[in-house]
Amino acid sequence: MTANFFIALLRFLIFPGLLFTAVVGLVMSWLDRKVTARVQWRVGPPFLQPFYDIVKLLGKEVIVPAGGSRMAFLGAPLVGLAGATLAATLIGTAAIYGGGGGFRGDIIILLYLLVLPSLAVILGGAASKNPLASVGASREMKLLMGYELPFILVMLVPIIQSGGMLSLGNLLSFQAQHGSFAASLSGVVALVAVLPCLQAKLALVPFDQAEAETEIMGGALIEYSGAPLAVFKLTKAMMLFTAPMFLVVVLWGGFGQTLGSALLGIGKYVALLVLVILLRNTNPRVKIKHAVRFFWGPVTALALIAVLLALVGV
Amino acid sequence: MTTIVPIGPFHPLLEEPELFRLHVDGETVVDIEVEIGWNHRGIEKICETKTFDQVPFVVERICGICSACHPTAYVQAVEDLADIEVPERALYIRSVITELERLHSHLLWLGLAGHFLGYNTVFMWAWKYREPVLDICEELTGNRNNYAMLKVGGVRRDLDESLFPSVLERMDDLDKHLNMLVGAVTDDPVLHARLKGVGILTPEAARAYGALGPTVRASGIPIDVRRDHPYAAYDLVDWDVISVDSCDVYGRAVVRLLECLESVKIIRRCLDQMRPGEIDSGVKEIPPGEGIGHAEAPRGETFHYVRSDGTNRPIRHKARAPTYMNLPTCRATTVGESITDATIILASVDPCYSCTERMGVYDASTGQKALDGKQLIKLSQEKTRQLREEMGE
Amino acid sequence: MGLKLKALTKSPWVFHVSAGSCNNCDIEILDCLCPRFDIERFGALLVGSVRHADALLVTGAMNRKSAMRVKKLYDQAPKPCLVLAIGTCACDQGIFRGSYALTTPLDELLPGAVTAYVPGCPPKPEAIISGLVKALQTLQDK
Ligand code: SF4
Repeated sequence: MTANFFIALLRFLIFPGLLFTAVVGLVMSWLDRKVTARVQWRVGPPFLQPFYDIVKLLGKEVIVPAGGSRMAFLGAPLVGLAGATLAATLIGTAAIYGGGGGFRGDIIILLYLLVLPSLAVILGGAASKNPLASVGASREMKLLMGYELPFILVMLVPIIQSGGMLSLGNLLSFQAQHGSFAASLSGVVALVAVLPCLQAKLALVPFDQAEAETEIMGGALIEYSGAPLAVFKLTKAMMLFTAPMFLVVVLWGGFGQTLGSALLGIGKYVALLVLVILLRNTNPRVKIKHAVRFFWGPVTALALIAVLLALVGV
Repeated sequence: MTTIVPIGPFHPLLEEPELFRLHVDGETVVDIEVEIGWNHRGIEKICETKTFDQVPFVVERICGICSACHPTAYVQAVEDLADIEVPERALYIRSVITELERLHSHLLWLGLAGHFLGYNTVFMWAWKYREPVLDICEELTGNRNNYAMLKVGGVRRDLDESLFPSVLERMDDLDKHLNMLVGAVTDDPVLHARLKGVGILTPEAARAYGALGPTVRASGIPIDVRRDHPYAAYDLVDWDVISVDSCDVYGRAVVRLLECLESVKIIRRCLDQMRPGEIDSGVKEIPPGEGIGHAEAPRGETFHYVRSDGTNRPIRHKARAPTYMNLPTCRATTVGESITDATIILASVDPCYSCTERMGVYDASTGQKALDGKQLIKLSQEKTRQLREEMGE
Repeated sequence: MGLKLKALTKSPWVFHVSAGSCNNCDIEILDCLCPRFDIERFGALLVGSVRHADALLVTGAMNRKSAMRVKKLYDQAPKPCLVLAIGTCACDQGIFRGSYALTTPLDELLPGAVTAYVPGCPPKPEAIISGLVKALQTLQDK
């Protein structure tokens, strides 16, 4: 019992949880900035840049805005971080230990956990008592409601295809036997539909309305400084790891047990990420109204098609 | 319920301080107030303390990005006052400098507009293409901005002919890049969705507000001082006034881009047609009288008025910059739009606050000037004293 | 040199305060971000909220209205926070000195806070970057 508890704690704090995800996430956020810089004909930041940023923020003064709610203001970033960490732990464990990891229904819990970082932004923005932060928070909320529907629909595809499996581990072993879902028609459609949702989950252009620098000056995070800001930045970096990983595991066959398939899995992850980064650099920000309409219109339709295709078995 | 959302006064990347108070209902703008004055430096008063020959340096610093147009308008006002003939070579040089300025100003705007849309790639690319223009400015005049080229009766410095081939070469490059940018803007469906039909300024409204420059040329009214009251060498070379009638932000972007191409054309022709000769008519003194001068700045018509009493300083100097006319159009263009669009609409007139900051204090109820210059000075000194006290001196 | 300090010198986020400038200085600051100069190479970013800032780049001669704002912004910035006077205007009010609209120069407004002066009208982006580097060096010497 205690041994199990320690293992769980280790998994949560070190591998594949907090520490590991944080490091990988920060490296990926470096990749994001570097690729962005290259696209823009710049040199870009040095490799350790995201680490310096976080350490620096931790050492800065923390200012709680007058009139804001202290508890909510300081608690919000922790909620987000906890969500991202737990999600990373569950996904990582399942990906590494295959069928053994995970439990029945964890995919549903994951869907909830992945919402937490966005909720944290909404909470933090609302607690800041700044008109620009409230605009940011309300945009985040609208966006969340927009992309969450197609996102969940897409998640139905693997569940239907596997005949009702609700655990990551089972989905993985199913894919190991029958080939990844992304190889089927419904899987491909699902992947296409989920890509914009991923973009929005990561709050990257064209769906970064909540943090739009030029419109609302950093939006929901405008009042944050020092350590809480560092936690938000860290959470965002961790999501760069967690969210694409989730898709790779659920839809695209995961990592497998052999070295070759693991490398392939990493390749898939990086490919997904680079695609996201390129999308971000070749598109302007859309209006929140358009974004919501986009998610509820074509994206949801596409997700529905994927579900129907899965139902008829292609 | 309406909330007030402030934009500014220190807003990232609006390069200057200004404060817009957007009254919004949800995300829709229902009213807008503009507060300026963050940049007021009392330039007209400063000009009255400088000699005629020193004033160009001051008006150059009215606004960094119009630092050739303000002096041009000023020297033309003085030349009008004193009936001075300007040598032809100087006219060409004036055109070259003002067009180089228009080029880098429009590219700057394009970059900022891209940034406002969250399209940082456009921002970086436009500014990358802007660099060679600044290089050319530096080679020809000695500084990247604030060129110190204008002088009553001519120009201060001659252009070095040996640099022309390399300048022309870079103009060819720029031409290519500009055409690429024009293509990128006109082909991008997302940009169309974001910019078309946004921030409509009808021709009637444009007339009523007295809008100027690209703002009004995008509403289908082709006015341009360069053609309507030719100055410098604009009547000696061949070029077109660009105007479109889409009346929206998209139109304003297109007008600016196409104007860049025209500028390239003008610079090429000027360098081509320029002949060696005098650059200064050697003005000795300015007689009493008054004169006006206009110039088409990148943002529209700049207007200067100078009165002299025969001494070596202007007794009155008045400057009116285009943004002063363009800014109020925000009432017509932003109300009813969403706040997402507000920034790009506000930016689409390419507001330049440092230009606009000429003021008197008016009493709103009577429209009378409530305070004159002397009182303002008094007030200012009073305030300085207070500030000092507050900071414990 | 502590890790915290090292991180600060490696990741200076700047906030741009334009207070009565002719906006040339401001444009040159933005130019520092652009491909030719790219200060992100040194970890510097331009941030949108003063709460995220490590250094304030102040430009302009500061009139009565904006001086108050500058002071307020400085108070809002989380410490430690560097202040750089960019351009002749911010250093000593330059050509506008003596105008009725101006108050005290920046270093009298924020006594002891200004870390570096970058003169020039406008200073070239290279000069601004060098000013930033020197300001960061003063942190290391402390
Ligand atoms: S220092 Fe020169 S360039 Fe800078 S704001 Fe002042 S006048 Fe403009």
